[in-house]
Amino acid sequence: MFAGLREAVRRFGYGGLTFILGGCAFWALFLIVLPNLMMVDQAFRPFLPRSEWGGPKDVYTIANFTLALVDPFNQLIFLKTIWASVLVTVVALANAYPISFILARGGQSGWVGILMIGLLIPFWVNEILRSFAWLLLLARLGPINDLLLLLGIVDEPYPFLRQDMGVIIGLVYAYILFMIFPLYSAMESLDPNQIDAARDLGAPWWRIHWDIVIPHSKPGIASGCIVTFMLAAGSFAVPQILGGTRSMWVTQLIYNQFDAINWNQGAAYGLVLVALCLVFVLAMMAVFRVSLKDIAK
Amino acid sequence: MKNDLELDRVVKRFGDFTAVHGVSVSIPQGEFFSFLGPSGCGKTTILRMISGFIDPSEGEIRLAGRNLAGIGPNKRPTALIFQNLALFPLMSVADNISYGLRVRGASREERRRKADEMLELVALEGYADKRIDELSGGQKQRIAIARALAVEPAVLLLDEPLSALDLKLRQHMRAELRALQRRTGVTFIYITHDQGEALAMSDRVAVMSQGRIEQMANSTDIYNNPETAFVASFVGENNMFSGKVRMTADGFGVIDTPLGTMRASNPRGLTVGADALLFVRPERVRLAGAGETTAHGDNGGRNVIESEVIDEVFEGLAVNIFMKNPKGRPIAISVTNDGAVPVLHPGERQRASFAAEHAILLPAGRLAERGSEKT
Repeated sequence: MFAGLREAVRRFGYGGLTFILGGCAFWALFLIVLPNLMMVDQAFRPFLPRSEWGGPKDVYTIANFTLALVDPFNQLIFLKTIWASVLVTVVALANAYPISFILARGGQSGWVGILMIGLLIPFWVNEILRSFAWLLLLARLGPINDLLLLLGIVDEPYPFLRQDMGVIIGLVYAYILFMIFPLYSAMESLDPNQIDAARDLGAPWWRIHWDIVIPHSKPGIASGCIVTFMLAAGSFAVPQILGGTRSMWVTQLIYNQFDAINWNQGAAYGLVLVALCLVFVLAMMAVFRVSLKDIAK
Repeated sequence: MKNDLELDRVVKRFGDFTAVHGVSVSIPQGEFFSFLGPSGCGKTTILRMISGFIDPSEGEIRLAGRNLAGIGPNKRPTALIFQNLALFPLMSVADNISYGLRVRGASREERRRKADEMLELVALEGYADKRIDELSGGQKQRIAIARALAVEPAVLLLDEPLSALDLKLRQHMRAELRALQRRTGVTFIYITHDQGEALAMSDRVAVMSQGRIEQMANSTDIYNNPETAFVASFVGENNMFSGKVRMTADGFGVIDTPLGTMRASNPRGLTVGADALLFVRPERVRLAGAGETTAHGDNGGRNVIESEVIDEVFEGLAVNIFMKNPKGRPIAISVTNDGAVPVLHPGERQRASFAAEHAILLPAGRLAERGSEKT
């Protein structure tokens, strides 16, 4: 460790090193540690007018958390957010798996490159603009409903936007790349001979995936799922644009509190969301026997 | 019916490139057969066609008389041992070996029994529950063989499986593979660019070059009686002299070379005027005695070449003498170390001598890459 420090001093000089370390310390302290501590602090204090700050009523309490967890409407939204994020993760995984496999195993053929570019270019556009694009596509008189009517799959336009369906579709689209890339890099590291060997020993294609590709890609699948789940649960723009009034996300609940200047309640909702997501992810990791070491790979 | 494997005028094209040009081979059940050739000669393509990963562009591959076209690798009674072995790192040794049985729906007990039986066959009893990364290179090798044999294939295909091992282990594994093949009676088809491996293990060897079989014979004939310049230059060391045929008689021919005339056996029946290459193995050349004249070819059947010693290399079993004649062409001599090999000094004048019946005339043709420096 000290050898590393000496090496750094040699390369950057004392001034440079102070600048680098100082910058990192400032960033970590003022932009990460302090705001989070402030949020925790706020969450445990009651919502009071400015004049009563520091007064006798300004004491630590868990009332904000009680409200977040006990209120049936809030409970519903927390559960819905987690459940819908799970659904988003599962749908994203189901779509990303074949795409990643083709990308990783498709060899040098030209259309793999085209597929890759086709995946990336839409993401050069801002997430909010992409959500508005989905708003047009999923609208009551939009092209997707036109197509469904034309094919006779539905008799009247399907109300994507008045339910959670629109949000889920939008979220899958918004975060699927965060699923594809970990899967792709995990699958790409699989020796193609492993697949050929399983085939040569008599395995049909689904067994090859079950026995060889999925176990090998497990760390990538796990990190893709965790990132997608966390992003979906914490997304604000997509539910705001595609959700309509009947679909409420926890992030919207939090936003409403901050909007109403009740930072204390908003901070408590935020902490509950983070804690719930964390517990859920850790539980899932235990169920699927994924360790942190796997994900770090 | 016997599981004889036949390749019938098999052609494989990749776009404009023809990797395999009409190869026909018939391999009886229980034979240890090798495809030997430099990289890019088409041997791996043949292996992948037999195992079913790619289909021939033309021709048929038949096993026990049945055309294998359209039968995928997972349905063929062949098993392949990959160059990098491709053991499954996330499965135990026993699970690796019994994987083929597992996909066939065998019960747990059946799989365990087969794994134990296979481990006994490759002398690794007690390794069933080890992880793959706990094994040494030679042990991995044997597990790969056990895994392939566990599905009881009619034909076992081996794609240079020894190339990753060090020399000592490689030589040990050669003997082991040969013994295993004899013990199981399974047809082994072995792909290699290592002539030592091919010659030491095989019943028959097909030497390949540019998608064609140059010669198919047992090891002794491949080495002693090469049929083409490619085989003569690819397999083993050879001294080579080029010239035109001046006369032929009684299975022998005399050629004019820049070093004078030389006489050699003429198994391919070259006629007068043909461009010929004369090959003679270093171990068939010796230093000429005082009584031998420098007259070429017609001196009691021996060819004698005036030369100058460049170097003498002592290798224990043999002593290699490298010489250069007045035209600058090198001649190598390999003498068995009988304890009486003379000590030679660079620059010393000596004469190389070989009998006409130990040299062979072949039609001029393409040579193996590594032999191209010898003219």
